[in-house]
Amino acid sequence: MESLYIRKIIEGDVSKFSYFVESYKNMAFSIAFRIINNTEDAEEVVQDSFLKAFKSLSKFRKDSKFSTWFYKIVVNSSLSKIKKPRLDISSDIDLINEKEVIIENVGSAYKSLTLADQKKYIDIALGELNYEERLILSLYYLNENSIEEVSEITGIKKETIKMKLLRARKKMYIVLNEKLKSETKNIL
Amino acid sequence: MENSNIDKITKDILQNSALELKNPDFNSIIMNKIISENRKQRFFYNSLLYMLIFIIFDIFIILLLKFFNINIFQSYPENDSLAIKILKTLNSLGDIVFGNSIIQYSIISLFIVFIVNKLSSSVFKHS
Repeated sequence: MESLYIRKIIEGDVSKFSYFVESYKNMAFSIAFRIINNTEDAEEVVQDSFLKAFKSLSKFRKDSKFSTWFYKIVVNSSLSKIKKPRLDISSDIDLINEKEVIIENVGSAYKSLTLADQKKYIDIALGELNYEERLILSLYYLNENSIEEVSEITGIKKETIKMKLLRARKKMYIVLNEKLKSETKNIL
Repeated sequence: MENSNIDKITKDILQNSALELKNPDFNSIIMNKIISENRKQRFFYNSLLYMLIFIIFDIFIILLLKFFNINIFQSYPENDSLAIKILKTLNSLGDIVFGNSIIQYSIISLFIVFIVNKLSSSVFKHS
């Protein structure tokens, strides 16, 4: 269906582009926001990214998904906005096993919160990660991209993605654990 | 704990981090920008097309002048001023262009192409 719409747009039926805007605007905004951390700038970047995608639609090779290709544009535009040339592709990351107890505790404590509180705490936890960690977590767990797709979108090697993902996840659980502990203390 | 279990818990937690664009006009803003960009591209390609047509038209005129052995740069008396020489040249050029049925036909063809293009742009604009 997407390839049919792409063909029609290239042939001049511009109205078909609204399908892509509707389908990808929210995830594109999530990606841009996780990098930039500012609502207005993230929205502007998403607009620019859609325009860039439209201009270079004829160059889109169908060997990857449209979403992967488009999110790559969003990531690059967001990095340009915050004046970072590219993501850190180094792989010298300390690999420490996550404590299973923390994950289980955080998981059950998190579930017991109201939806509004869950949203609040996950935003706080993500806010304490760096933009790269937030981006990788969002792509893999929220958008359900595979490691290969995350690698293609970010331009980071697959092995490095795996390690960065583990580190980001661990960091997120540590922050959530601390925040939820203090929340429990406050309630008591 | 199995890795798939950790992944499931993490996924459940991160589902709440999904963001939504609050701007209700977002789609129309993007589509307006895209339509405007499309017009710009069309204008650019149309300009190129017109330039190409005019270059071909010019070459055609030059070949025609050569074919009929017409020399527009006639020799003028020495005492004629530069302005008079230019006016006389333009006058003979006008005679050649407007007095020749083939050139008239070409000008009319170009005019028709121009009108058709304008009409199609207008239809596109309102579609």
